[in-house]
Amino acid sequence: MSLLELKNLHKSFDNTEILSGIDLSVNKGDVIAVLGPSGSGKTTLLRCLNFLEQSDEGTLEFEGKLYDLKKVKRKQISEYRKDTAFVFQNYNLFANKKALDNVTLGLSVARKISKKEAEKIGMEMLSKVGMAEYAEYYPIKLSGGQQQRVAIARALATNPSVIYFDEPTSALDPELIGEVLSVMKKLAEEGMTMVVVTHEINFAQNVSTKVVFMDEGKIIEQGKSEEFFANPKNERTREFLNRINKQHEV
Amino acid sequence: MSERILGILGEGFGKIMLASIEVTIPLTVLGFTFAMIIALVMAMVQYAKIPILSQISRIYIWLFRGTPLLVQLFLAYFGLPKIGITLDAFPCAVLVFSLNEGAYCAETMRAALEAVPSGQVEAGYCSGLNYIQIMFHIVLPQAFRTAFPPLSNSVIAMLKDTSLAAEITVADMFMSAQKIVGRTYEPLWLYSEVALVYLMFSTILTIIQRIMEKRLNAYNTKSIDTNLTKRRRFF
Repeated sequence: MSLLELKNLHKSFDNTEILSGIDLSVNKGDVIAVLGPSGSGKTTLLRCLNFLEQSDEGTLEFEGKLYDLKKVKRKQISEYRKDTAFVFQNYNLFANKKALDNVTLGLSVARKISKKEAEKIGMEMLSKVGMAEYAEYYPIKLSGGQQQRVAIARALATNPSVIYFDEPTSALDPELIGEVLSVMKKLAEEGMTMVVVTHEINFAQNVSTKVVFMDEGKIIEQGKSEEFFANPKNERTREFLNRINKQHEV
Repeated sequence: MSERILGILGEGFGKIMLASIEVTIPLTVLGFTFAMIIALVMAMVQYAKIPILSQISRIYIWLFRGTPLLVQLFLAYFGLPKIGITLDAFPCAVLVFSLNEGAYCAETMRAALEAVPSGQVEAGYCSGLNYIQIMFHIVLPQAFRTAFPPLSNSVIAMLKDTSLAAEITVADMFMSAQKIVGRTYEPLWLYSEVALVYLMFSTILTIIQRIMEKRLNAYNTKSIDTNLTKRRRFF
């Protein structure tokens, strides 16, 4: 059964249409890689999905609840966000909170879980991303890869139905990308539902179950990962993949 | 230094300190407390972009930052009685200092709020927090850290500016020095003395600032850098 059903999403910034009619279906356990050239609207799509941007048109069905994206209410948004999580390109850890407090804030403050219980969950999540020993560190003392792993622990802590990842490795030094991707791979294997905007072709190829290819605000092609890479149907998809393969050769 | 001067300075010190306890310190503490309350409200209204209230806040800052403090004091103390509002000198001074300093601190706080990366606010929403929780747990603590040095500046400036209150008959440190000068004709000694007392209080505030900053610094100093900053402190 589908967890999330997005229909006819439209979004413009200053009269420039960024997304022109996106339909997307996410099933439980899907790991969807959203690929596409820069400016194709991938990030905007993800931000609209978590109401970080207000959409101009469209509907979203999530866990049986229907949201009209144009006139969704604040209360509905906060209810929806309690079941989702977001991982940002530049981590966005709370600078004034230690790693553990970053993870527990959504539990103890937003969900009124006792501090003790929240910290137990927090430590569990930090261990899961291999950051338990850094629980008492402030974000500034952590490397980019470590910060992103804490951010993933923060996303996991609230036990979301889906996690959105917005280019989670794009701000990282090349040698730090691996540690974040391997955490994400582990989550995928555990059956976490994930929508990942990424430039990591290897992740899309080897970890994701589905690939969505976007260009100029539209989904051009989508399908199972193996099929998508083995036999891309659309001309623009083929061009994109060729370009990326060439870069890898260089 | 003659015995007479020593006597005058001794008497002066007692009277200046008494005035500081009775007037200058309460005026600074009360004025700055109210100023911070005003500043916080004005800055948060603008940060949240609340219509009308934001504009009112801009106009308030424009008026109180754009006119001289001394003129504001005179207007409130000598001018307002003409339209039936008569205030005692001390409350009048507290009011004017709060409003004047509030305008400057509002700008400091606004800038500090805006300096908190908006991504952290988004991350707060995504963690399920609401606006008030985000302000309380994430934005305000960081804004206070950023605003702390300029706010310390403001409180030191205000401590010294309270000497202007003597012009509207508030019996502060400066006025008690003036009174003794009037009687003894020793302006050099007495004004030097009162200047030193102001300097003493400013120094105490500066020391407090330094201690507080060290405490607040926990989350934005890299431990690796401590040696470097220690070395650079030489100049």
